[in-house]
Amino acid sequence: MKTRIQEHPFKNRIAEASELPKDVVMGQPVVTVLGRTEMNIENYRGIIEYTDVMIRIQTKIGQIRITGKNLRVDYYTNDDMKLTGQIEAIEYQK
Amino acid sequence: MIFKVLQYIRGYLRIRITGYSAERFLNACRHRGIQLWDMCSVHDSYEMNISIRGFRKVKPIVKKTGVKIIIIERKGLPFFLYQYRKRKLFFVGAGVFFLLIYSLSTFVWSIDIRGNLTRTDETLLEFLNTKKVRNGMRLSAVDCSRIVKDIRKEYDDIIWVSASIEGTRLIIQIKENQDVIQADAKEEEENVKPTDIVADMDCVVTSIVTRKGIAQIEEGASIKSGDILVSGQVPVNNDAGETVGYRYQESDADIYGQTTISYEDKQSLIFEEKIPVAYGGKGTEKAEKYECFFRIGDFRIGFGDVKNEYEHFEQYSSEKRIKLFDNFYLPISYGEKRAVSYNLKEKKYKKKELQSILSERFNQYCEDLEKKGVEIIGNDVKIYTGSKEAAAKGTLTVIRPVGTKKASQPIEIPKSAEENEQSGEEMNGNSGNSD
Repeated sequence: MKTRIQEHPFKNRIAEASELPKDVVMGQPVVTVLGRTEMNIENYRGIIEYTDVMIRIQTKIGQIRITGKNLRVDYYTNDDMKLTGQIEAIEYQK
Repeated sequence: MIFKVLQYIRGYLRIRITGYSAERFLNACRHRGIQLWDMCSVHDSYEMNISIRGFRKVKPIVKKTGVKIIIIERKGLPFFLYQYRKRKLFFVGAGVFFLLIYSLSTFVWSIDIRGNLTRTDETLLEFLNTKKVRNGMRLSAVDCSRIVKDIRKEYDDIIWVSASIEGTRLIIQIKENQDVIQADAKEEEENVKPTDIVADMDCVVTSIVTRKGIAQIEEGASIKSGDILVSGQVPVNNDAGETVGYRYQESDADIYGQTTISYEDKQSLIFEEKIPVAYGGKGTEKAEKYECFFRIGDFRIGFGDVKNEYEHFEQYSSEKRIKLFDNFYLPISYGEKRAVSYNLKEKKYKKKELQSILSERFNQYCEDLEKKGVEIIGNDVKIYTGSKEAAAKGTLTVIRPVGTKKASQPIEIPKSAEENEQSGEEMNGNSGNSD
């Protein structure tokens, strides 16, 4: 399976050489998880599916699937979103 | 927290979205910068909060995505105000509140004085009061540079003043001169007037330490009141040992002399004791009258009355002024008055009581002497009890500081004027020796 980073070897190299953060240069998502009840996601494209047990989020490198219980979106803005609830799994999908 | 307060002030809606492409609606909202928060999914629909401003922009998105939108709840200040729009007095009250806050903030509410070590706040406030700078004056009437000038003019030892207004407080910062004494000493050196130390009582000198001037007496000498103990005129001699002039100094010496002090104290045997009249229950007159009062300016309201027909009574009264903060005194005060009746009864002291009273007073007298630097080396004070009064009599032998400063009589130089002029050069040349 070919990832997007491998698709852009040049960009990747520039990011590594210039020591700039990759989330800025490559537009990669930043996922911050606090314990298993809170989660911040930056650099995403949009919500594909949302129920209280599963959320699918579209990002530049593919979908991120979060499953759990009582999932809520605390806020949802252009820059980032915050999820709360009982998080059970975080999966990256193509 | 601030975010939530802002949301409340701006107002927001809780909406429910149903439809096939609800996620599309969310993404579209995000794309247009419409903020959504506290989202949760309930069955097939989503519930979320949206700001009023956001909700106004949402219409085209609803049309485009074909979702159904239901308002569940309206929250925030705009809806609150709309709901109570008919309560006019509420709005009047709110308006008056802001008006009051604004108008009250145009007055000086407290004067804060900092850096004053030798002068109390009260002294300075009193002075400022005479310059019409006081609590409750209008802020616009405060002239800081005027205050600074006034304080500098009035007090010589205040070397730096800064007045500033912080909110409704007038802050006055002061720097006091702490080198006053040193400066004075320098000045004095240049223009010294000769002073002697003169005995102020008859005594025998037990010790003498001279710092400035020339001692005229020795240890063990008995002196009489008026004798010069230390002279402030130091003779300047030439090579021949003749006095050619005097150098003036302010005499300074520690002189102690031994002397006796007679002591006498009397105490009458009979005294009157105050016995408060006890309240004897129903029928008897109450032995105490009480009044509490409240005063605003010159207007006074009292409850109760202290007027009475007692033969003897003691009246206590207290009054307290209400103040805000540290020193903003309002013209409102409260207090109480109390008149307590008592009877007089003659009593006689017992012998032991007399002794303790007299000896306590004698001890107090001794302590006071010791505070003045007097050392007591012997006493033969005895207590005598008579039929009407008791007395403590005797003498104290003490060692105490002697001498008071007094301007000296200038001593004539025992030479003619011509010779003086001739020896002038000599004097200058030998001044090192004569010192």
